[in-house]
Amino acid sequence: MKRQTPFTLVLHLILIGTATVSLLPFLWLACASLKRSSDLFAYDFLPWGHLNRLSFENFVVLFRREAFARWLVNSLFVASLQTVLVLLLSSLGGFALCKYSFKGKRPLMLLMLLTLMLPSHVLLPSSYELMRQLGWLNTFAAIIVPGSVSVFGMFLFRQAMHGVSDELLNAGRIDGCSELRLWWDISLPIVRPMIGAFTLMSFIGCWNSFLWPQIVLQDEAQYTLPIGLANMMSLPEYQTEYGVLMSGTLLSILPVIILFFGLQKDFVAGLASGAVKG
Amino acid sequence: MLKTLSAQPRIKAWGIQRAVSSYLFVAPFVILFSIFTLYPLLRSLVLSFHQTLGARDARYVGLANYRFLLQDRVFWLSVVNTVAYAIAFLAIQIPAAMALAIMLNAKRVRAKAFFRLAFFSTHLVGSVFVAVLFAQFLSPRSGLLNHVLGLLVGHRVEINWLTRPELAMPSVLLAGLWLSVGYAMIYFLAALQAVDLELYEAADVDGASPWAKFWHVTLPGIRPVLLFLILVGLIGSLQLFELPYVLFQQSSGPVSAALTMVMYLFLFGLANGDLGYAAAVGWILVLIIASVAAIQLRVSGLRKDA
Amino acid sequence: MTFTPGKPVFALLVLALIAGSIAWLRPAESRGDLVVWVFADSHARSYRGDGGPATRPSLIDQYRNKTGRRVSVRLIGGQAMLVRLNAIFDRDQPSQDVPDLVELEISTAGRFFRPPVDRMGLLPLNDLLHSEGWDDRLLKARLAAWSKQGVIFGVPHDVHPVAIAYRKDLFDEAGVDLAAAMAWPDFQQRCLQFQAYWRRRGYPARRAIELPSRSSEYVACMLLQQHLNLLDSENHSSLTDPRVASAIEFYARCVAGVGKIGGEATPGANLWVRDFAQGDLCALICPDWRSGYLPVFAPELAGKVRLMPLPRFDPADAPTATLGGTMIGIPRQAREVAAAWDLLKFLYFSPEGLEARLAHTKILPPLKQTWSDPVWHQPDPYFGGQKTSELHIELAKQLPVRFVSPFAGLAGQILNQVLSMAVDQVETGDERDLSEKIRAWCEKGDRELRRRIEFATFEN
Repeated sequence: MKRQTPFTLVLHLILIGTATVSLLPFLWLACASLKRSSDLFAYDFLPWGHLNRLSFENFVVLFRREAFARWLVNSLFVASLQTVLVLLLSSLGGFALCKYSFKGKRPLMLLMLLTLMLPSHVLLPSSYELMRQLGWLNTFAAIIVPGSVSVFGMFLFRQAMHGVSDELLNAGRIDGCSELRLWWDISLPIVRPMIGAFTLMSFIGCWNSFLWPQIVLQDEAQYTLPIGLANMMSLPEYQTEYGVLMSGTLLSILPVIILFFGLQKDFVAGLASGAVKG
Repeated sequence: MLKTLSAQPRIKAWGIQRAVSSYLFVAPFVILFSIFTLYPLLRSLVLSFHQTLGARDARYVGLANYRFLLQDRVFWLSVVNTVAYAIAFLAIQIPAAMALAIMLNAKRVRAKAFFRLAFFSTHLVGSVFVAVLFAQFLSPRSGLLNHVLGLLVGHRVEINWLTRPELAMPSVLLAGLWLSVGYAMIYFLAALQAVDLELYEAADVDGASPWAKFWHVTLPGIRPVLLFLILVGLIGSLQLFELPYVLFQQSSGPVSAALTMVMYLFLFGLANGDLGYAAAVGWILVLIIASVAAIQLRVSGLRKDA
Repeated sequence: MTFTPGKPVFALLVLALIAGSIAWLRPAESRGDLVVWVFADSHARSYRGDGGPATRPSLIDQYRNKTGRRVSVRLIGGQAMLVRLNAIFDRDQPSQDVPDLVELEISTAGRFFRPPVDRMGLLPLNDLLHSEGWDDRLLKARLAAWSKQGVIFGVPHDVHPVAIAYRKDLFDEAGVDLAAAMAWPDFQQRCLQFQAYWRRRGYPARRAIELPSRSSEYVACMLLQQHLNLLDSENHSSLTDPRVASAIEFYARCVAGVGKIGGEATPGANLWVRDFAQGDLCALICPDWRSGYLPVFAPELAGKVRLMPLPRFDPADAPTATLGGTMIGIPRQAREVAAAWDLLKFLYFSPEGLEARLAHTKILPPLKQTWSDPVWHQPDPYFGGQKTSELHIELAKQLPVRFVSPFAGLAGQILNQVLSMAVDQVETGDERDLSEKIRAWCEKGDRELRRRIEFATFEN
């Protein structure tokens, strides 16, 4: 084993190098959020000679002038509720797709595949009109309800449910479990890793989703984080306050990191149970 | 005898319950899916045969949209750009992610949790902000990348990453890879951890070389995840839009070198209120993606439901 | 008791409940009596008054005090604006989501000018403007930009005359009098002298002026100087005009080859300021909004910068062009046209409106009568005492007409393509038949443009 040591060292060097490349932009982001705008591009990271030029001014602007706290609450609400809903619908639907055969199952799955391939931009105008007719414009329902449908999630859970043996389900039936309890009490604990993985993926997706919310939410009190932040970026002809934008971006990453820490064990195992055994 | 008799009606009852519940369980999904996805989807199919001003003023033109589209130089430019991106993206992302995962999975590696988070962290940022960040890193005089390159070669480097047409797509690629290598790595890692350790032990007993072990044990073990990632990466990169659009200040880049198919759809259809034309582009895109995916599935010999 | 899907999911559920109730309990911002959609942060601020001097009530508060009507100003991102307006302009019924006023940017506004005049999503403003005499008081060249076949759909926010800003300190040191250049070729020669001087002194990367080599917007300016729009208000293309080919050729030789005087600016909103301040690019094509940013983002250059009119190809050309611009319009489906029009006048024409704007930017308004105001005739210490606004007014009087067109994007793309091929040619040093080649490329581009226009026009 000892002769392997140089190899191990090289291995670590490569990993550290790659990790640096991954994390460097975050470091840059953190530095940028503390710099005043005149220093932003004058120094790569921190103005070492004059550290007294650093300040939390950007964060103050974020909360005082911009409605950052509001956007944060809105985003938390939309992302967490949508994640829970999409999780329920997908695991239930995936359970049905995997464990039952019913009429129309194949055409349904083909249609679902089709929608994965059509760029969502094509659907925007019709969807907008639909929201107006439903009276959902400017409400979170316009994001959450359509967002609780995930073809991707259906397929993932369908795969994961293969891990639930039919004998187990039949045994449950003999014990008098209703079909709903077969899903909730027997299958869900088994696919728990997939729940972890999918929760994280959907939350990230929803947390960062930008175009559709920007189209349906018209009232600034309803804005989610990405809309609020994106509005700070201007066309080339107008000013962009990069420092404020960077500090907002930095803060907006934190909730996802927290969730990642909470879910990371399930997350890796869940990916294994879903796609791996495809 | 007695037992089976009494079990008979119960089994029948189960059958009914199962049939009913299968429909009940998919019903919420199917209802929402039909309203929010299928209905707009069918509408777009109908619209693609119309010339439109918005959706109200539409007149039937048959295949005219498709015909014009297929003869349009700019559309083909976008196809070439996008396909080239997709190939380059997959050719780098998949091997890089696999290599990282294999390294990280090695027994002797320490601080695994840290590396895992570090690699995956890039995926936590939305593509809009990746574009904003990279626009700064790639700027010619004050950008981080040129400064680092300058340190390596020992003199000032001034590469116009974002304004030279031949560097436009490589710049997008750089940002795209930063965003998603770690994400693919996590999948590979998950797959590697699920590979049966006994297989490796058996290979060790046979005296197999590391390469043989990779080829005969690891690769078959992670094959499903590999195919899955290729498919997802393919769909994602053929639908590329936001990253280049924001990176190039809401434009298609220098001399449209970063014009992707979905950007074409947006700039030449949707944004002009020409919904019919946009829909036609979208359906051509479906055809392209579907055929590429079908080829991929056939080549990989996995034609069962992916 | 355990929650089957796991603790994190339970935590998310709790989070949803808490965040949901906070969002619910918070007083919702009710829709104002009038709603204005804007695309630029700076415009939203100048109306809402945030970021400006807090001593005065904001513009919309002043309007409320005056009329009792509450105004909501909503900042809407580019893609969302396009999707929403296209949806709204498409309707024949008024509805809740229609704004009373909407501001559009010149590079995207053309997209809404595709329908025939009688089916445009915006309201024709000719009668409203004419009945109160505003059409005579506004700069004609700017009204034309927002018109289709003589029907006016937008009121201009600005004039945006283009000048050149240059580092007088650096040019003086090199002994080059840039402002004396009246013609473009002369300008190029002086820039070359300037670069040669600095190269000898160890600044080989110092470029005389900011000129992108693969983007044709400044070629379009040179064409505008000659009163040439790539597409006119009837969407007729002028790509085959010989002046287009010769402008491309001249420009290509300014950004490549031995006559190279231009360098690329740092991409990004107002990052060009740094290139200028550090002396990487020592002159800028400079519309009035850019000269307004200079003192804000490069205060250290005070006294070192001057403005000059654009050189020309021919003495009959305009010494200026126009870059960028905003209009405000009333959607056809707006609920109360009279109220919308009243607010429009308050924002764009009233002394209060113009004053609020001045507090944020020093952009010349298109209302000619305001140009005599002393505020536009002060020497500007940042520009070494030069009366820059006076120069802008002089240029504004000679402003060429610029049109918007739904096909402007494609026309610009084709011009970029031709320019790029010309630049490649100059870079290889093989310049044989360059003029003929450019003309041939223009003709090819022209055919492509016409084909697209014929296909996408709804009028026939």
